[in-house]
Amino acid sequence: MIVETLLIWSPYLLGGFGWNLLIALTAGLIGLTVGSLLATLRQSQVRAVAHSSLGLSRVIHNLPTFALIFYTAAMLPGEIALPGTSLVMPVPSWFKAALALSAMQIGYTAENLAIALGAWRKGDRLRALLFLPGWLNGFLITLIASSNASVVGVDELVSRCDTLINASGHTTLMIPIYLYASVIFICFCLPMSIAMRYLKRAMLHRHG
Amino acid sequence: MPPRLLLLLSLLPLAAPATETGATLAAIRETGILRIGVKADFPPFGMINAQGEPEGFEIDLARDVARRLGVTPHFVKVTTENRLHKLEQGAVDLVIATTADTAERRKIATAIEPAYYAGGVTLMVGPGQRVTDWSALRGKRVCATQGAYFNRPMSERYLLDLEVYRDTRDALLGLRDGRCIGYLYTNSAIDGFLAKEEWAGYQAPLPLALIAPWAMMIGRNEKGGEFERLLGDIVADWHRSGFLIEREQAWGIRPAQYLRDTRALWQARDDQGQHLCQREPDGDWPLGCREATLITAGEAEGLHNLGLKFKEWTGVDLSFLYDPFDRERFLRGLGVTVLMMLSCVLASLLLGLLWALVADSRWRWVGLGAHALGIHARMTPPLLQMYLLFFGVGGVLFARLGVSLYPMAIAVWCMSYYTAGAIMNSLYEVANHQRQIQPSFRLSFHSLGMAVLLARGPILGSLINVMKQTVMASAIAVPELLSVSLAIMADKGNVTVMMNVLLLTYLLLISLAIAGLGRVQAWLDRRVANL
Repeated sequence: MIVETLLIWSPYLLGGFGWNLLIALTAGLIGLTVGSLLATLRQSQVRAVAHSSLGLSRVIHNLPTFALIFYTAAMLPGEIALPGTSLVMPVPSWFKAALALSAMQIGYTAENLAIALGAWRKGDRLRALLFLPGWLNGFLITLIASSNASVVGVDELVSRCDTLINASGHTTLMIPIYLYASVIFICFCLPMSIAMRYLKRAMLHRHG
Repeated sequence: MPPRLLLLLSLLPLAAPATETGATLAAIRETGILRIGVKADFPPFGMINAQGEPEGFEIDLARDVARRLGVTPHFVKVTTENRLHKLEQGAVDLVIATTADTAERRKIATAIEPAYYAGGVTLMVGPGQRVTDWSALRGKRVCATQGAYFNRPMSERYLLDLEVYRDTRDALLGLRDGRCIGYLYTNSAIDGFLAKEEWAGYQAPLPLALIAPWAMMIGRNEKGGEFERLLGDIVADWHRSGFLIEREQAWGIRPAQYLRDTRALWQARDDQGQHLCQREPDGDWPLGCREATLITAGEAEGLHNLGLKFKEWTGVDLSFLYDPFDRERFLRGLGVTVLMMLSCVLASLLLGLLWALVADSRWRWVGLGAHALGIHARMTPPLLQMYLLFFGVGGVLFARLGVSLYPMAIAVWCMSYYTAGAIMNSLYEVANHQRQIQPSFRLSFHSLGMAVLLARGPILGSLINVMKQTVMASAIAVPELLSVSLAIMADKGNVTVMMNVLLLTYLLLISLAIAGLGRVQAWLDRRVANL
């Protein structure tokens, strides 16, 4: 009965995991954008700009993302009126969560992109490319942390597990469903993590 | 209409309340009649019986006031819209009509303290729905009625996704058709729906939110007079004697926690056997016996006064500093967070070191098992692990053995398990690296020290992360900083202030931790240099 239920509901649960992926990817891209901006500002000749950029990226990096998820959920408006137009853009809760989760990636990018760019300019391409496995590792950590978005009601995997447990009315299903969710996470993260390790090793090997 | 008459009419409402303090009581004693404004449309608090006479919980209170004053009660039907206006006009002496006591209403009338009842907001949910906590509703769709004053604060404080209907009927239908998980409305009205057969099986399982005390109201000019004092003493006596609870039961009203708590407070005595809630020399009740939200700067002292003044000037409510109750729970939350941070650091380190020893052990299968467990630890979200242990395993344990797990211990375990997995991995990688130089190398009690030195960077990074993760414990009701901040927000509505205070506090804690671990790292660096 348990296996049957899990099979029937697999598409629904995997759909939830799709949200996790979307959130983690969005967070990673926001991290890349804002992080590069901070890294560029850090190269500034104006000392005040360079210092405040460094300070800002440290502050962002030190904030606990779980608390940030509550912060963005409570403080950001549900929709933003685009200035100069009559358009109103909704700010969905998954995006607010992604914004909160991007803090870690912003910190990583700001710290390491400058180093990578410096290496690239010196012609040390491989050393520069080592930025990539680090970013992917950050993506995996963000993916795991994206389950935290469930506490503000984002309809991702953990949230859908709870919905399913509530709907079935059987508390006996609780343990299998949660275990199944962790299997989904592991099935995605393990191959990626192994691939990343090989990639990194291969790079370092060629690097000598 | 001649202009002079118009002028006269316009003066009338002004003329009536221009009575001096004490005039109302004098008039009541002179005529022997107490005119009380009551509701006729709010069963079972105020309604009309088959004989056309008013009856209900509030009517009983009104009769008792008249009895104690030794006068005849004369009931005047009032509505929500006109009840305070009638008072201002002088058409009634006293209003007992489900009036919530708010700062705005105090500008036009005098509220009698203590309050005699309290209403609040609750959630009506369908049969079989398991909702136990307001915070479990975050992001969930909830039906509501347009224009209700509590819609906005409730959606802000608990992050509800409101689906707002034009009227009560539509909202109830929305709930019935499953368009929302529950219906947000005043508890006294929802209790009325639940009593109907149509809604059999529906329930209101949550504790009341946004509780507002219901107070008797008298004219604005009676503030500080004998009438106010007399009525206040009567209500205090109702609480102490249990009269209110007895009347509540008589009318079949759902037991309100407010009445139980208030009764306990007003019955409490000090060492000398005196009531704690006794009038002070200036005639006021002690601050601890009054509604915290209705105390103004002029009535409080010291820090409390400063905090309230600041709030009245700027709108910034720093209640976690000035309000003794909020301050205490905030400090306790801070203490729990610091304790959890330290426990997690110690537990992660210890578990991670032992785990690394097992993972790199001579016995191949034991090592593989430890690695498999490590993958589970690193790749399962800690939140999921906490739910699994707390709700899943904890539920089974409670059902079978009656044992309940301690939430903080579960939180520390799950976060340490996740972090220890990462620490184990860092140590194992160092060991692998070392094997390239020295093929016989293996992690042991002797070589562990060196491995820790070599892996110090990632290990310290993991420890800083686990400190940040302690916030997650709020998901299983550990009363740490985030939990208490959310609770203060829910009571005071100071969402922006508390959210920023929360982040700043964490920033401070993490910066301190980083500074501390930085010294550890510097010390380790020196050890490495000396190797």
